[in-house]
Amino acid sequence: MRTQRTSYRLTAYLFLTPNVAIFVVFIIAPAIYNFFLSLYRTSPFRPPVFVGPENFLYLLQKDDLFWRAVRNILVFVVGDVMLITGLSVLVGVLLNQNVRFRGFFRSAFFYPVLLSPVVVALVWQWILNSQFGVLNAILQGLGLPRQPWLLRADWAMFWAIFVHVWATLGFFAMIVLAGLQAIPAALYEAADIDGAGRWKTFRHVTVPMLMPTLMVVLILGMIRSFEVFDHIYVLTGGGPGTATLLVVHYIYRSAFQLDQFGLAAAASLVLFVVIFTLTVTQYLLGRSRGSI
Amino acid sequence: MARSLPHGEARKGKGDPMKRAALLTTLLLVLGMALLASSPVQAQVTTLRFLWFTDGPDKPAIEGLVKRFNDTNPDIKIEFSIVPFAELNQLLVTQASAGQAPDLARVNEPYRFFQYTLDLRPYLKNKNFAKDFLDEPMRMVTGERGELYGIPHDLTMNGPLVNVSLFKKAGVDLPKDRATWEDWMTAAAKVKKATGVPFAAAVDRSGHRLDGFLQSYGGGYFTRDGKDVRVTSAETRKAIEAFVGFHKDGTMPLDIWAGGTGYVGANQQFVNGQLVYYLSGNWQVAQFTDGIGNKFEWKAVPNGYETQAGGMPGGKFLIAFKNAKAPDKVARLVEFLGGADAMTEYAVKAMFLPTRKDLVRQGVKYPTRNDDMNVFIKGVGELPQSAYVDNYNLHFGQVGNEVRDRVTQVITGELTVDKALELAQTKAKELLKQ
Amino acid sequence: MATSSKAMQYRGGRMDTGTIGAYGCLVLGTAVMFLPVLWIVLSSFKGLNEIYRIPPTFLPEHWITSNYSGALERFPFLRYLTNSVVVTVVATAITLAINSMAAFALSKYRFPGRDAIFLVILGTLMIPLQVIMLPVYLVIAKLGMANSLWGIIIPPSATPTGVFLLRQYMLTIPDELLEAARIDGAGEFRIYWQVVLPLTRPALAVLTVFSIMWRWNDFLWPLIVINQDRLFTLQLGLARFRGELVTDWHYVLAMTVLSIIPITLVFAVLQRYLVSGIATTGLKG
Repeated sequence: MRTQRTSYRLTAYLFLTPNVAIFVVFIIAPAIYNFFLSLYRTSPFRPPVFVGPENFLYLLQKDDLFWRAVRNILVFVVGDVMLITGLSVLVGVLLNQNVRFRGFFRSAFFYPVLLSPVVVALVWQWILNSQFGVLNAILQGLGLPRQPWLLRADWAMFWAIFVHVWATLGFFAMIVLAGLQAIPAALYEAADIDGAGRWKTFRHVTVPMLMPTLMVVLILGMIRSFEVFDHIYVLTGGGPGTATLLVVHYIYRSAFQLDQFGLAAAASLVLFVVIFTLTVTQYLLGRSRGSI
Repeated sequence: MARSLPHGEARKGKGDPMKRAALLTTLLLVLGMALLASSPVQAQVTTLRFLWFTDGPDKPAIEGLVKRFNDTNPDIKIEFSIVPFAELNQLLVTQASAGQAPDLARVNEPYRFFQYTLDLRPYLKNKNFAKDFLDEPMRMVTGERGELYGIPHDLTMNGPLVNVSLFKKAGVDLPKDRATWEDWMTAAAKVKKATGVPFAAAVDRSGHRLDGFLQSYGGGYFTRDGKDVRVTSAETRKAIEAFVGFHKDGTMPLDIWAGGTGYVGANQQFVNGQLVYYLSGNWQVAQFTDGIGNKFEWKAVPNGYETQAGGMPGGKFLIAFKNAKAPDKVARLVEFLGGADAMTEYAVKAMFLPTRKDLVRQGVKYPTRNDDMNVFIKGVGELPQSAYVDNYNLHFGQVGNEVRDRVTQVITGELTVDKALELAQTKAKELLKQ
Repeated sequence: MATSSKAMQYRGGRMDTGTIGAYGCLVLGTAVMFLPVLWIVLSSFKGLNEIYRIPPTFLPEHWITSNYSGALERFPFLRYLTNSVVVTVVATAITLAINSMAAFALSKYRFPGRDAIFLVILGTLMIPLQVIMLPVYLVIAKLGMANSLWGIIIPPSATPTGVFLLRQYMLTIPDELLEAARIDGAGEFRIYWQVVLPLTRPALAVLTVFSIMWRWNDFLWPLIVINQDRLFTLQLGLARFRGELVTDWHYVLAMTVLSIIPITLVFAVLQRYLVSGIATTGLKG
């Protein structure tokens, strides 16, 4: 019996190995190195100098920009995740209906995901430009005043969230769509025989069966939201001022514009701890419900 | 056992699509292997990797020179590649830290890489090579103990370009030679009002351009000895206030300084005839000649003059990296590109300013726009010493970025001028510790 | 089994308010999704100055193709395209294989460290590329994968998103199926290959699309790893139009449109595999 158990476990480990090996070599080991780097001050002219917790103290006590970025990212994540979760379910269900031109609709929702973040940001920059943007042109056509969309702090954050949702909704809708395929028809028919209407069916059949998929959307969406960079960096550059400065942007700036790799590492460690804690919480909650 | 399987056709599983995919993949794996195999090594020919980033007219210029070098040096083959500027520093730092940097690279902040650059002195044929070049730019590629890491390859000069046609259309005279920034801004605002174009004046969003503005007030980033910062000095403060003021009164649009991060330029607006007064630099001349053509009349004018001339020198450098396998051949390439002959050809074709003393002395005759280029050259001559001190300070890029971002915060109303300068000063002192 | 009218509805029967509502939402959503992209395509046929016109035009005033011809003559499109295809296909094949294997282990086996490993895998998503770029590159260089297509194929192929996605999907496959197969004497690998994988098709289709898209659009990492022009991918070639002070947007637009085409074709083909299994199951009793 023991050999059976061992070979069973061995099989599991074997299946895991290729993927995990790549992770360890190419992500985990470098990440650990990075986290150690947070204890050093780096310079372009000489090798790094050990400074212990100095970077963290600076980050958490003296750096107004870092706290600004933290505040911004929290606002961003909440808005982004709420919209993505709700809309992806809605869109996923819609795209699952047996309507004509379904393939076309699916392609249309997925297109933005295929674009590189730079292109997405540029297109929306053009649309939202206060001087020659399409949106303002439409407003003027309707007799309404032009708005300085990306030049006002509150609007800039709104559009940052909007554009990110626009560019990633298709991704999550596809995931929901795949999840919907796993729901047995028998359940729908049973509900139907019981006389359940559309909404009741949705609530009592679709949603519970979608839970594992929803966990993916929620967790993945949250992580990606915290880590967003390219889209927003090109769209607003963190501006106006620091209204849309996000944490990864802060990290990038510290590392590649100010040569402060140790500081960047410290910030990335803080970010990691926050996201990891939230993810574990979600995971444990989900597990108690049996959906993960 | 009859079971309803929710997952579509269960046992049909492997089926055609998967087999086809496997076949296709194997095919491509084989093809890939073929592609991945390296080309046969020719022992006699050394390959040198030369990394470049381009802004247009310099590309044919440098490509011509590379071809010439390849032809006249049969034992060397240059592998020339172009990368986008935005990722240049990231790329070089990453590759260099793993010993995989290119042999020669065009950069704008050479000091970033001093840990990894190659001292060319032992390999140069001309032992006095360094002396051929302008002193201040040369300092930027010289190590603490006199190491020669490369050469300054082109010189740039900040300065304004104006849309003359718009001035004429508005019936406004161009301000005279020693006019202040204020004079120019007022004139530009008048022209905007009269002609209805969207933008009166614009300055590239850059710590470098901003410093050029500060210089004419006697302001700047660093102290004389380069070891401390004077961001909170009275002169700098006055200049920043004026700069912010021009934004607040609408002369300069928010689109540039509040509308993005990193570098933002206003060249497209100028080319489209939507901008009256554009503070940028001589590197635009070639682009504008092509892009504007005959659409409207434009020219270069001197920097604003408050208590002294404004402006900033700048430029690009070629640096060599330690991991080069054939340093003597790299030195040969550097001596070629830095020679009077090659440099003249480059400067003329790309419309850049040369960095060799002899060429600056005897002047360079540009095929077109000679007058505009000479406005810039004259400007170089009038630069205050502090401009050189700032631009060629090893931390200029970093401090410039910091001040630039803080000034943006003032413009958007997030910070007061005093608070912004204080924060910038603190950060700059931090950076100087590196 | 008798099929009720409601079941017919799910298979696309007659129209009713619900269906009209569905169409309405879809059309509106499609417009928001599609129009900006449409604008990119139309703008790729405009001259550079028209692209920057105030006020902007939607349809080109003058249709030109010089953006395409001009960009194409500026770099070896075919070579870059080939490289992109090779990288994308090989990486996707590897991704599908190893992700599904890992997901299988994580969803269908119990072993010590299972949850921890899963969370660590998720954890790798929480580290921005910017901070591990230098050490990862060092690893690549030491392994001799610098300046090689393998260097941009292997490291990204272990996608944590893929593992997560497949694992969640595999969780919904009843364990009884595996047990039955084991009783029939099937080995673990056969179970994986012949029982679980086929049932995971919709998720595999989704991952295929994602993987193709990710590898096709990879930019920063290939930029750093690949030094030789003959190994450049399409995205790297595209980037050469972005200089320090000037960007040739008209070329960027044209090349962007060209680089989207292959992948939209792939998507159009693969999305068929996301058809609900309702039509063919359950009715057989």
